[in-house]
Amino acid sequence: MNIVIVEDEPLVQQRTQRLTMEILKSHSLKIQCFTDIDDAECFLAENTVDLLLLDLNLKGRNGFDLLKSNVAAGYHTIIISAYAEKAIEAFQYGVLDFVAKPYTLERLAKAFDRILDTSQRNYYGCRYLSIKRLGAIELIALADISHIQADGHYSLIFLTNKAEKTALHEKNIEKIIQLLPDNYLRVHRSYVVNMDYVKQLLIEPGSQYSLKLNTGLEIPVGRTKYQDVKHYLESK
Amino acid sequence: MFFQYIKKLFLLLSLLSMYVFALNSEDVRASTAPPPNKFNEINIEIIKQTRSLSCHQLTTSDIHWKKITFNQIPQNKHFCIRAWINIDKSLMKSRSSLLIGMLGASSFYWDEKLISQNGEVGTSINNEVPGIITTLVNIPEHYLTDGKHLLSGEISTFHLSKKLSNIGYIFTLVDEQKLHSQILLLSIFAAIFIGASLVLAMIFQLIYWLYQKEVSYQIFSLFCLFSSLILITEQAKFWLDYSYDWHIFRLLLIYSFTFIACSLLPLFYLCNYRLPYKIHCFTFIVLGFISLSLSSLSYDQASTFLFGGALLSALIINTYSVFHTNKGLVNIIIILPSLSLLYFIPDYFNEFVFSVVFILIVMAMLISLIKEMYTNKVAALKAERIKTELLRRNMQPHFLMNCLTQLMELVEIKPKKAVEFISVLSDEFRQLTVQSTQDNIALTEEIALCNKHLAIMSIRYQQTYQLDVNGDVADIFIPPTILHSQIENCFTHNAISSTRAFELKVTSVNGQIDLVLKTPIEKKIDHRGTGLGEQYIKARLAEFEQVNNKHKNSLNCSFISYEECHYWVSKFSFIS
Repeated sequence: MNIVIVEDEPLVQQRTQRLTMEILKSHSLKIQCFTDIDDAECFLAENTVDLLLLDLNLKGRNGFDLLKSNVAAGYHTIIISAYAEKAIEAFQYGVLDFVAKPYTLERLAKAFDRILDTSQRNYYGCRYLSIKRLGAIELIALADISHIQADGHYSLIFLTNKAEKTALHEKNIEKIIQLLPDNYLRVHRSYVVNMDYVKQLLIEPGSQYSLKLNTGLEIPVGRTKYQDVKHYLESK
Repeated sequence: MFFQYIKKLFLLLSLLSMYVFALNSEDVRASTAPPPNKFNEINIEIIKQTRSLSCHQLTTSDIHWKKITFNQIPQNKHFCIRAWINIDKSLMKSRSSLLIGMLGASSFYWDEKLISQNGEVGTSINNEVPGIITTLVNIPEHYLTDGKHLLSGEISTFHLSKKLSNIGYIFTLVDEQKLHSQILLLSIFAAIFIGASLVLAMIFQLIYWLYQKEVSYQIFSLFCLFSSLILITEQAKFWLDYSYDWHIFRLLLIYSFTFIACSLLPLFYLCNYRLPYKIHCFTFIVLGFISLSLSSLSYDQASTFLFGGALLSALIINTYSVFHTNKGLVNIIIILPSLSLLYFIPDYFNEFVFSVVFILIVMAMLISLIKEMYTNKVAALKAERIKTELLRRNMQPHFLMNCLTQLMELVEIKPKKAVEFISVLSDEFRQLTVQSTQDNIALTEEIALCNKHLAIMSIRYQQTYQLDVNGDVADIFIPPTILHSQIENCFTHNAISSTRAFELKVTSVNGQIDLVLKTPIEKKIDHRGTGLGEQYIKARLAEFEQVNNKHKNSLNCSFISYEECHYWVSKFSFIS
């Protein structure tokens, strides 16, 4: 597992590194530490990273711009910051977790759990997905996404209200679904659907299932996922 | 046109007041045609000491006697007066009495029969016993028959040390019931005014001593006190039966109170508006009043002029204030009619005019005072806010949280270092807590505080930060935490390597002290924050100026900050 730590205070950096190694001692780890995000950027661009532990001064606008560009990347971001009052806002932009300083080993372990256990959902209320388009960061409201399709290491996001019907996100579909709320269902190995856009569940001959969306598209439903979909639609 | 209406209005008011106080003026302003039961003219003869007294006899002829009105009776003389009166019993509603108000000793006869003895009439100051100023003489019912009657009196007026414009005030037959109700009405009016001003005087004394020692509160309180004293002394003629030789003393007392109240009025506005040259202006006004007092005007006239002068100077001060500070328009609106009221009804001691004018003035002053109280309250709140802000800023939760994170690590890894860190941290907090309550601190203390903060930062970033001080720092006092807050800011906005030091240069030339603080700029995290730091410093400096100016040290503080050669420069100047 490749982890990048950005923290400007040496002792705190040491702490984050020490605790990370302790929590994830059963994994093979590669940890890189930087004192600020500018230094880390080159590394993040050239290496495949699984997780960014970021200390962010969220006081000014700069802090949130940095946050948005990082959550648009392929890796997950966990914020470790003293600015606990900004946690809700950070979650809205799609950070995996927000660890308030000062933090204990237990709290950090809980944050790592969320990476390791992919069945856990974001219960903090992500409202946007940040995407990089033409070098700029763009925020997409979750309500405007009808479904997401896996596209190799990336994900293809289908939008309902934009001129451009799709957008590419650098995170793979497994990572994205971790950020999304309960109304997004993994209906297929390659598809995540916003259930608010489902018109009906179609049963085709040969036990083929699919979901008809308001947009007119039909999304295949995996055989193993059928029960989940049916259950979700019935309970609604 | 408008002016005409105003004039009419005031004439109406004056008529009204004349009606209410007809008691005082009935005789003085009597018309030529004598109504029944009233004296119009009296006959007077100065008594030569050699002549025998025959003035009370009905048979004595008074055709050659001098004819005068009662208010023309002479001073320092021994004389006789005779008045003929036509009694018409049908016009008498209740018991009639003779009301005499004059400065002298007298004995009065009704148709040769003695009805009143007031003091002892004498031929010189040595053998005269002064009578009391106002007497109500009871005329026996059976004396009052229809037809012509003779009222005669022997009077001596030797006990007056100063020439007065008139010494005979009232000489009339009055309806006793009517008289009492009139006096009652007058007294109620005066009592309300006296009571109200005394209460106001008391309230503002309390405000001055218990709430805020603002000089204009004290002046207002004294003004209320003296204006009620004026009326109390003025009213003394109704409730205090003093002998007439005290009369000049009473007039002098009233005049002194008027003098004080009239001096306080312009002084109040001068202080309230904090105008420049207020001492010069006040001296000028008082000198004017003194020269007025030394002139040959009668007490009443001089009082009216004093009051007019006070109103006029108040008007000028308020006009000046309106043009320069935009304050005082309401006062002008109130003073102008008061001044015109005084102009149209110059009878200053007419209780009605006096009270109305004073109530208006007091209202105007109260408006100014309450406005000032509001301004003071806002200023006090602001100062309080600054103090809270100081504490909040320095106990910044983020700063604390970051330090605590650090501490957690140290406790787990190097407990000894943790103890060291806690002690540095508590040192800074302790000093901040103490300083936040102070108006100013020694520069050396501020430098110590900055060094404490740098020590904390040195541990946190594992660097060696230090503050280089150039110049003489002794005996310089500054508002607390202004340098500290700039150093703090530097860390919030920067990541700093230790190779660059913080610099403080202190210069002191001709009462001007300059502090120049240079903090390094590297890898800016955020260009400018919310500007709260700068606002905070400016508020602190403003408060510092205010406190110093209160102690008569005029001080000018200035603060600028700018970027220069990879340093953030903060320049503080204190010019005294």
